Amino acid sequence: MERRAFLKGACRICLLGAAAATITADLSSCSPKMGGNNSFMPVVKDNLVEIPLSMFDQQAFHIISPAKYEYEISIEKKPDNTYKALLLKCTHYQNQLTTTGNGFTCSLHGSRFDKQGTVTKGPAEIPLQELKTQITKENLLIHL
Amino acid sequence: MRKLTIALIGLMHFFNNANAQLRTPAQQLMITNEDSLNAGVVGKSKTVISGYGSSFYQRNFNEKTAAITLERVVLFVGHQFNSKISVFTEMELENAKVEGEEPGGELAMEQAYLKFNLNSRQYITAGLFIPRIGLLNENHLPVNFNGTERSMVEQMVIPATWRELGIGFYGRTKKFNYSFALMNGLNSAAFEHGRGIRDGRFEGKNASANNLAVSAAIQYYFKDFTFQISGYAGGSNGLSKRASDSLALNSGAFGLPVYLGEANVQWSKDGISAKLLGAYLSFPDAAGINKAYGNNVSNTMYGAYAELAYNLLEHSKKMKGQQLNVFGRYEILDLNSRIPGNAIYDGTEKQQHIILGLSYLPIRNIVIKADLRLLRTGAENADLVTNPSPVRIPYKQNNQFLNIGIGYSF
Repeated sequence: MERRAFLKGACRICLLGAAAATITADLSSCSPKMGGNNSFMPVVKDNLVEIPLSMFDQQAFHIISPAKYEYEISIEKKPDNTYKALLLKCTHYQNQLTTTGNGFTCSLHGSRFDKQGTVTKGPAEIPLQELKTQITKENLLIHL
Repeated sequence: MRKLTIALIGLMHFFNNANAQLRTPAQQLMITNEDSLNAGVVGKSKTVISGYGSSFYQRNFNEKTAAITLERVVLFVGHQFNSKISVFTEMELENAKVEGEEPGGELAMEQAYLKFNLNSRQYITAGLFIPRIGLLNENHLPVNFNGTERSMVEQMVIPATWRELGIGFYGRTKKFNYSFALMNGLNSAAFEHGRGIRDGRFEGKNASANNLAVSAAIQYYFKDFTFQISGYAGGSNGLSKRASDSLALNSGAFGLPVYLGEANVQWSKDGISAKLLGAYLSFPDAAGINKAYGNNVSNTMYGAYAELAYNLLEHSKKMKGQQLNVFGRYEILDLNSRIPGNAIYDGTEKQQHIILGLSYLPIRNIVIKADLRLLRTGAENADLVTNPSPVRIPYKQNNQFLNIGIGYSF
């Protein structure tokens, strides 16, 4: 009887885990590959990420998720046609940051940054790391 | 003169090198925030040390007593093994010291878990960690909340900081953050009247793994708003079936379940911020626990609060970077909103709190706080007053507390 209760409980957990995994997979697949504020997943090659400049025709601000890379990158096109790329890695504990409506936040200890990477709430003390960018004819290169 | 200058520069260079050579390999890997700022090596550090702490004075106007304590000092140590695996630990010392056979003081691990990055949007934690329930549970640094004391609702209904052993899965989509966790359950035999489920937490110490718990949370960000809904469901009986049967208690992974639901909204713009949180806890088998252990626990409890704050220095150019937050918070909670037939109702557990205060942050990670908390409770139940002390002051339904405190994080 005890074994039956244990198996019953374990099965419930497995079902719950399976449901969670399914939901997660569904949620992940909801993320479009590109467009608007949506995520773009370029490939990292020789520590470089290459993205088309045409992405910025409609929208000046994008978040990209390089494939097989642990952190996202925010990219903003400035009015003078330069680009600012920020590594979305908390400067306090190197945790991945979450994009909010007005900046970025770290769920680990509550640090917050504005869209320019400036710290707006501790414990982080250092602004987000800005990545070097380079413009080619049709693409923007970001050095990781 | 030129020779002397060269000799001095050489000497300085020598001491710099010597200093570097004196550091052990582990020390050379260890970089503080300040080091990384100076060295311009953000993101390359392997081991990080940081922490937070707080101390406060409290005056109880009814009792006409005052107390002061070094409330907590917490030390974080984290290490990144590689870009995919890291470890995080937080050790907490409460009330400055722990002495054998003396009450008060606590030395405990607040968190100790391995983190596995799956990709830029998903990761898994395994070990002792704090599930995402409420606001303070995850973000409890004194510089990040108003009031010298933590919110009463998030101390008594949601027992922050609530950590258990298990596995957590965290991720996000374009707009949503989500998390799921599987942990050890609670120990309802240790629930105490007037303390919610606080004393039933294992917090990593010899937890019974016969009973389990799951939690889930979803966060949504929209402009200056953050919305969150979270839930917890877990068994609270770690006894074997034989022992449980002898006490007429249900057993199994989710035997004697505890359910907790919580929702909150935060808004912040131009120095004004607002928070709204509600939590509801259900323990359907309270009668069985009261029968087995006689600890007078309730079936349900609830709590809610609303807070409004404004940074008076938001637009000050002269004091840029500093904050002077004036705030007001109203909290309502009832730890025995529904009780079983074998429990005794306690009016003192139905409480309202109004907190008015100031938080001054000369820099972002240092805070000086002062506030006044006005407490109103229901009437005391004479049946629960046993062996009163001869010097006991008659219970008053209204009380006031003056709090002054300091806090830091780094």
